[in-house]
Amino acid sequence: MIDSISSTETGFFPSMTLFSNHAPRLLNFSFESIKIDLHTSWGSQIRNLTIRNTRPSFDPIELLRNLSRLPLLGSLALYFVFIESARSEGAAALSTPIHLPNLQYLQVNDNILAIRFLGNLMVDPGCCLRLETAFFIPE
Amino acid sequence: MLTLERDHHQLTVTLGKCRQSEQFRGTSRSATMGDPLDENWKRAIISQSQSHTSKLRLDIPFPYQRPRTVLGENGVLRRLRSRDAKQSIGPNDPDIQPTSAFVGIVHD
Repeated sequence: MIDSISSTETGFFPSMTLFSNHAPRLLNFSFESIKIDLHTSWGSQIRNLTIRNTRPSFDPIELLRNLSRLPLLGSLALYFVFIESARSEGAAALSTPIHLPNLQYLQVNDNILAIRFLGNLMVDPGCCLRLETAFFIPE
Repeated sequence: MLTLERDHHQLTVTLGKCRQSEQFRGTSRSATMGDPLDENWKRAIISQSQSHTSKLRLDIPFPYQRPRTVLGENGVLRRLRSRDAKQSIGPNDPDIQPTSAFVGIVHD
């Protein structure tokens, strides 16, 4: 019998168990296939973040709320993190955009929902954006 | 490379020399807790079996900020205990302070 690490009811992996919630030098973080809530003691110091193929997918607004906890983020790469959320109702819209003042590079490879993500994100001048969207329009 | 796996009864540390994580399966070897770490290892992967078809994987590039403390005076891995693995994915040791990490599910 193998121990399993279960997700929460919201689909988030229990991120508090990572590093015993203590990784004061962690600057670069990537995760794939699972959905991690970045509301941790170490999340706020992340400079570079890469997320790939999360299941369940992030809703764009949900991900933005997560990213609002990463004010030092300088580089963000997203690969197919919204792809299934097009079929869901999604989170409520934001009243004000999420500001990532240190973001210098943003890459998004995803479906058209990436537009909703970008539309609620505020970056400072000089940020580089690379956007590649699939030809998929949610019903 | 270091891999830590566990089930209810066993904690296994696997060590191997790899430069790329993709090479891990082909070049790793098994060892037991307390085996000396090779200073040339660049990565640690701590794996926890999640199902028959996937693994949860955590990559922590070496070196740590305080490698002597982590490895011990004789270069022996001392600080990763089975009790810690049950409580935490990743080292439950304040001296182990990764600067980079990857967490994901690897499908066999």
